[in-house]
Amino acid sequence: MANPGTDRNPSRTTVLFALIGLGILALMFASACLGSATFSISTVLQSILGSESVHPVHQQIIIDFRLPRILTALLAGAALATAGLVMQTVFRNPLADPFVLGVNSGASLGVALVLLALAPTGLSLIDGLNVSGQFIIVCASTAGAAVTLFVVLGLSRKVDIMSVLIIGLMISYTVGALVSILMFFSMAERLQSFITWAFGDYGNVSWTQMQVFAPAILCGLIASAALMKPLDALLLGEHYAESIGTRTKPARFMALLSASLLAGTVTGFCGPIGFLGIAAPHLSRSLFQTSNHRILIPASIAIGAFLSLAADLVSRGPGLEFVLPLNAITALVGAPIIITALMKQRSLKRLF
Amino acid sequence: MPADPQLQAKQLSIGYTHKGNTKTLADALDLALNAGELVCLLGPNGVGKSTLIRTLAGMQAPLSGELKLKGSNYTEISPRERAKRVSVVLTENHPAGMMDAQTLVSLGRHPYSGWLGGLSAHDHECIDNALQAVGAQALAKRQVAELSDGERQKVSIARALAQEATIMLLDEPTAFLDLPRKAELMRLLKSLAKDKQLSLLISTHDLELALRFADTIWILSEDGQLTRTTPDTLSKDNTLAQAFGCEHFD
Repeated sequence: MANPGTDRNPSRTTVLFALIGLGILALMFASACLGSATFSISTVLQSILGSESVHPVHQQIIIDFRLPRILTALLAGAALATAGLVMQTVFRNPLADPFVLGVNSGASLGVALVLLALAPTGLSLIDGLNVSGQFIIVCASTAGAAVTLFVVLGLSRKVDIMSVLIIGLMISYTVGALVSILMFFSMAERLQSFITWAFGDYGNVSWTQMQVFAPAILCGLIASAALMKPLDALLLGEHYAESIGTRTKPARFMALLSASLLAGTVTGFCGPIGFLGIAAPHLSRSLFQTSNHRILIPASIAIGAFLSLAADLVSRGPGLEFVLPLNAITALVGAPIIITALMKQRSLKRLF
Repeated sequence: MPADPQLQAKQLSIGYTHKGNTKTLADALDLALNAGELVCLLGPNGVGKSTLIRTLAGMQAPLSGELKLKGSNYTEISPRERAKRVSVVLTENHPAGMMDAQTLVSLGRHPYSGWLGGLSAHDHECIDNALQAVGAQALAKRQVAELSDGERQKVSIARALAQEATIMLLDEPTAFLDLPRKAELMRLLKSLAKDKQLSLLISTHDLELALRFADTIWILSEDGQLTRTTPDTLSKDNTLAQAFGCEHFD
């Protein structure tokens, strides 16, 4: 959109978006080609186009396993980054991430209850993550996230924004403690399946589940983008935001709701994936040199998708026989990014 | 006094309600702000100057009484409409992180822009004019975090100006500035009041500046009384000493 007055450097912005776009495209092809079996780019393109010349098994691997995984990584990265950006603006806190309101721990509790407490009723993830078992996990973690979230949002209506942050953290700790107690009383093999869930994985979303996953994420992204004006106003702090005509309370509530939808959906389907939500918005600010949400929201979406694809590619370790925990990779990538961004700006005041 | 003041308060009572306890800072205030008038609000610390400004700005509800903007009741005006009529410069710093001065000033156009905040050519003109009015064109592309206190205060006033409101309320805008900067800022505000026929209410601790630049002086005393006076009368009588609760004021 023509907006010369507020862009620091329009041509730089365009070039950056183009570069990140190309990077995402390259990573998508790399993810489609590399893995337990390696395919050429032409094989990938031919299977997508439905050509007869590709081996049906190869075609199935690409269409039914790699493509949904790539799409999941893209959407999850975009969702976590946007949720993180919104949370950081609403809380005026550079360390706020999509999980500050307890979404993460709520989802863990849901999954822990199903895996650890309900396990004696015959449910187990050990037998190859069958479809119904996975569906129950998704439901449990989404429900856990939603319940925690509404408790925090309910409590938050009466207090100021910093208290919301603290209440969210405290509820996270409380729920985390419940999870630990559940784990303490569980058998080792069930613990194993819980830990596997907690590693995070983009491979759990099939085309069937994508029909729920993708629309939920798109809704959250559109809702966040629609809030860019009040989010810009909130950068000034609550009082100034009100003085320029922003209805801060409804704006805040909507922002928290859409961020929670994004984070809750991702956690539900892919497990708790850390650091992308903090790293992507910081990298966006640092690269695009702006706090303007008109640029930051698309930038975070693009950078989040990029980082998420890259982390997934690394975690599957082309050439390796095993899959590394995705959560560990995002932390290994995310933490240095945040440190570098801080070092480059020398002070938090300039960065945030 | 002109018949139609920009902002008028009758029997206004200000303060806080906390857990059912009401703390009244001042009551039975009758006030009016007129176009082109620069009012300085003086008073000891903690007497409720900031509360009065926040109440007049509509950020805080009055405990009782009537508050009118050009004849229409405050409660009937939407936040957006109010923002087109009243702008504020508060003591709290803009926590703006990575934002240049121009972007900060452009936020003042929020009451006029569409729901996604896109700016029209007219908006850009207003932003440029506001920066020019405070003599901050050269700062437009500088990051707000890198500005000095005085520069930031100017940009902050430019942001309020970009709102094109007829009333501007400023809470201690001269604090943290050195003496020449203080006088420069007051001169600027005075000329804005005259040139653009704005009503300015400025809370300050600088008696000297108030005497020099104000058209009208309001003194809020510790017992919650508000005295209206002019610099001329004030320099001759004892109102100030009474308001600050001390016998001598020298």
